[in-house]
Amino acid sequence: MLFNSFSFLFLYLPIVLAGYFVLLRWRPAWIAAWLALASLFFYGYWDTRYLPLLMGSILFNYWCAQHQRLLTLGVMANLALLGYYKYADFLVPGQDWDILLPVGISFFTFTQIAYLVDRHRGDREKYGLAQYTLFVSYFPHLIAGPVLHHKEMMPQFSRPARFNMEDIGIGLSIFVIGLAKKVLLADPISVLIAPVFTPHAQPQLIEAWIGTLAYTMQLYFDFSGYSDMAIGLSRLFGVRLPLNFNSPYKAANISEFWRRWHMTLSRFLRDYLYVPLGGNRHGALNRYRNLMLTMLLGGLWHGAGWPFVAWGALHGAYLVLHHGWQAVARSSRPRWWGRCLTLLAVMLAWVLFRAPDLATAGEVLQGLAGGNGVSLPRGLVRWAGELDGLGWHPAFDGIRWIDFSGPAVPALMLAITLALCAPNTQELFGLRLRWTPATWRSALMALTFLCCLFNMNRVSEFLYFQF
Amino acid sequence: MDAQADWRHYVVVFCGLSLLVAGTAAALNYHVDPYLIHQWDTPHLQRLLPGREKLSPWGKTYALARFQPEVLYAGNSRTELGLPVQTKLFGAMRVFNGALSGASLGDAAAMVRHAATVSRLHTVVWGIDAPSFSMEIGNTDFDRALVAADGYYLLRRSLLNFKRAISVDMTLDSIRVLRGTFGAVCQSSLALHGQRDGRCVRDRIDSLGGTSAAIMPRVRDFARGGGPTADAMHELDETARMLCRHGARLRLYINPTHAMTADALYWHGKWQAMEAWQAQLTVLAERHRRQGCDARIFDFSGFNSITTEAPPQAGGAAEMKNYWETSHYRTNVGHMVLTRMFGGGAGPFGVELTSAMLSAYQSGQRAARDRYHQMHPVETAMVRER
Repeated sequence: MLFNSFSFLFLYLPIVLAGYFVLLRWRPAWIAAWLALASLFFYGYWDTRYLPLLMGSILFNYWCAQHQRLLTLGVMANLALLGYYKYADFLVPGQDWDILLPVGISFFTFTQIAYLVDRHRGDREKYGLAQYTLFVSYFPHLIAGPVLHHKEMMPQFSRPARFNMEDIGIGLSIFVIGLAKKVLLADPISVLIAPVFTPHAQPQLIEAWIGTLAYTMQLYFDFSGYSDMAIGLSRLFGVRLPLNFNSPYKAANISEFWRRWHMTLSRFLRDYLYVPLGGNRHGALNRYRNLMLTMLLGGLWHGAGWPFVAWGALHGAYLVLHHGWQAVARSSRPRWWGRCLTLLAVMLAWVLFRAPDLATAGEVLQGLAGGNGVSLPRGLVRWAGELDGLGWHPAFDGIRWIDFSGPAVPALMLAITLALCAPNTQELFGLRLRWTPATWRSALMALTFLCCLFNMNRVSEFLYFQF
Repeated sequence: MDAQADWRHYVVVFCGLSLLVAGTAAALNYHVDPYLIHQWDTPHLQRLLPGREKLSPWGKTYALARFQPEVLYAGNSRTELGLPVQTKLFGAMRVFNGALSGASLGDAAAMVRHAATVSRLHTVVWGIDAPSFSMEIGNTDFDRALVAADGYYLLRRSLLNFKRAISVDMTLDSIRVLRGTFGAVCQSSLALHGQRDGRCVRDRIDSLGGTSAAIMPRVRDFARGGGPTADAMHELDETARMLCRHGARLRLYINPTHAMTADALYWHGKWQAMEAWQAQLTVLAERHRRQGCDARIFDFSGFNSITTEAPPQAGGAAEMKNYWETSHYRTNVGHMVLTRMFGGGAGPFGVELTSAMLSAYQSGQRAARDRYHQMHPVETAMVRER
């Protein structure tokens, strides 16, 4: 069941909300169990075959957390589970593994590893099974994050629930913003990408840049849209999820980018990988090694394939270069320069992330550099003389892989403007601007919701479901 | 007002406005139903529509569930246009043409599965051809949620219809219907028990510049098809098995497309694949017959007295007698196809494929193709030039 589907919006969510409100009135103590049950149903609706896996994982980890001597075993078992389902084919190629990746396994495994590690570090807090089950399986985050941390979630699940109309209003509005990001921006843009990233497409300069820019925007609006929807949904139940995006394409350097992109994963990698590896405590060289290792494993977390490894390595190299540069260069550059350079670096790395294989990534990168030629639309041939005068002799063979006739290109323009110039969701709803319950704001949200609803006939999955 | 009351007002406005607009649009679209997605035996079916029928899989799957035919035609637009439902060959049995424009074999198989779930099928007549024999989504409007899987289809379907009604395109077209600007060219296929109204095709051909102008685009489209594929053969096998379990008889027939289309396969290097495909179909039909099923395969394609009719470029006439253009045959040919398969007797048009005769038959077709090249130089040159 997708958040952007009618069955979720008009069947599942109203039923879960109605149950929540009834219990809030009559049996508040049962709310955690109700939401846990609803979350397990939500997961089982995807594929019932993996519901026992999720439940088994929850019970096993809960059991391990109760016994100090089993904590290491628990972490190893989680890694083994992830290794089997996600990396078996990558680590032992050539076997006919025929493994179907359980939806959300990366997210619920990481969430539980963090809990076990904290218990191992001496965290003494114990939680009830219903609360723990809800923490792991909580349906707004289960499929594609944010990666939750027990310390910020369990107190919310344990405290008495209370009815707050502001939570409902803000939650609905954040959900609508997320839905609009997905339905009105990410989905229309998607048609610009696949043809460019098809093996042997050999995109020429303009196609390669539009395709890469389109993927840069699609991934951001798709994933941050999902995160907004998750945050909004959770707010309906009075539970605040951590922020996951903070206008990442406005970052002035690559370190700042990683503090703004998929923030909960970055936090997890920092706290449970980079810091245990030594962090920045043992000199510059060790710090660079730790950065590289963290980003390599971060890349591998996204998928078992060499393009993801290369993507992680590239970001690791970016971070090392950035820290090295900071150490030697004292002069400060203007912020816009850093923003442009960071966005460019991130876009180049997304080519590796999106391409089905390294060869195709190479083709697209070659196209970005002009290695596959430059071809302008046929309609511009009348300007050939002027361009010749400038010493430029492009071909006028037309644009093969980009459809300029549909809504995709205008949607891309709007997406770029919003990503680079507009306030983000959390700024709209409290951090910078105050979202007051004015009637016009409510009507604006309703109209945005209706625009999404009227364009939801072709439901598409979220990109991060595959991770 | 206190903050809670302000936020209550905010939520009420949001929910109220959303429900009001969505509900109004859904009610309007459900009532007007511009694409006839949930009509059967209603006055709406007599309404004239634009030449290009939109969402026809929606209308046909719904009509099948309501009409519950005993005889089903399946396939793509060739069958939809050419195979008549008004025929005495099936007596009093209810006949419905469930073929879909642009359908691949996968689409047609889904339609057959749907029909077998919502009605008791006695006979399935299934038109196939090599290029569309694949599992690609050929008809992009055929959402597989429309295929019945249980006895609650009409209930589930009403939810789907409601969902489809909340959309921009349908709302705009509902308004066009109410304003009388939607277009009124031909009847819906539902008014003709699934058979496509010839006026729709006439309109399309006229928009392309007439029969003569439509000839080569159709030949090129035909040769460009991705089939035949192995997964489609597997799907056909599974569907035939399902029909056999239901006790239905199956008649597969290779569409009598114009000889120029068969020739295009030859010049595109697809002739051998086409012959291998015919052999696989023959084996499939015989295997099912050995298992007690009434399954047969006929070939009406290739080079015969019907398919070699001269196109306007060679014959001089503005229109063809047997064809709308090279890809779509007329109902007089469809009558001959049905008569050959169900009327008994054998003739020069249409051959039942069996292992015993296949090799000689294919050899004969190769010789006929070579003769065609000699006797029809204009058509041959057109196809070779592409």
